[in-house]
Amino acid sequence: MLATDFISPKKVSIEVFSEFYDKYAPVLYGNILRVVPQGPIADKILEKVFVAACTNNFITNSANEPQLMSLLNEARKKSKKTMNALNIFRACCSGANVCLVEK
Amino acid sequence: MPDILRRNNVIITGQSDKVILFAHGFGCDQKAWRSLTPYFTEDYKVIVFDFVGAGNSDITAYDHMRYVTLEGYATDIIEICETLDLSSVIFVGHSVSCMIGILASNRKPQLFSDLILLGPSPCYINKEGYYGGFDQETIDELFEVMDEDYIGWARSIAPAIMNKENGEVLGEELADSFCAMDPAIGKQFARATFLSDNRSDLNKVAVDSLTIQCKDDMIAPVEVGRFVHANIPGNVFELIEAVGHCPHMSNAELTAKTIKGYLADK
Repeated sequence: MLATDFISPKKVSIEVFSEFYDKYAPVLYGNILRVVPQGPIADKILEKVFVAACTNNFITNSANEPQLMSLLNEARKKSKKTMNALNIFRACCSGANVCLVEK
Repeated sequence: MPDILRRNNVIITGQSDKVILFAHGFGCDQKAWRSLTPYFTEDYKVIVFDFVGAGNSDITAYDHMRYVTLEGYATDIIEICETLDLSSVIFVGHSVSCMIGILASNRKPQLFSDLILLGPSPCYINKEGYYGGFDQETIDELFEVMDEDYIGWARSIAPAIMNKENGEVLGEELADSFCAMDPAIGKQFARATFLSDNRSDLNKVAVDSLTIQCKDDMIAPVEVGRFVHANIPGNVFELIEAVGHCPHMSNAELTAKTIKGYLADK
């Protein structure tokens, strides 16, 4: 996924956004993958985190540790939220411990 | 009037005068019953069907207004029974279909002799003085995730939901079963299901009923099953040693034994 894949609702220059993305995306993606084991879902969550960052006018080009912590919290929150929802689907359609084998 | 039997992909097996009708829950279709129904085909006429939007139902018959609440699905049940000229049907509902069956029987009690409620919940969201198992925020999150590519995601997590005994085949089967619901319809069905509050309908049930509660069910916890039991007049309650929300799939033999035991004791 590239920084240009995201659409910023706020006015953020592509250069600033690219720098921001390149700086934080790897660590955020790693954290998301700890909760969400599937790549496509993790991609979507990462996208949501950056869209939220844009929406909240959160993107700057300055090094900022509290900023990273906020992004990490957002990534974890969205990851857990997604897995909670998928677990509900899972329980609805299959049960938690299916032992049917016949097809 | 549309062809009801085609609309709901109604399948009938067995020859008996005694009729047992199985109604699947959210995220499933009639395939969910295929481990359970063989226990009944010798002694009953077995009827399974797909709700509109699930399985091989006629998706063109989907009406957003009709199915905005569970009453629309209850109407489907009534229409199936009336089209087949049935009465005194033993209704087996799973999950949200328990409440659909209750709504149908409250409107037309003469159609049913018994309601077998497998993992029922009259209200999934916690309310003052009531534990439904979910808070509003979790349900809102569920709807938010459903606005994404949830079917693709469900397909991608299907292998992860199997334990070692289940094997690869079941993973594909579950993904296929889940994906047998149209995404847009699935979203509306989810809202009709998880936002429903049918607690006040329980004490109107006028036919015999059995609640089958799994000991560990995240969708319909034991407290909810006991609430259903306490609020339906004359309801029989069975807590079974099955894990999850789908004992008809995870432990069909025990589920069949529990249903047959209840029917034999009448």
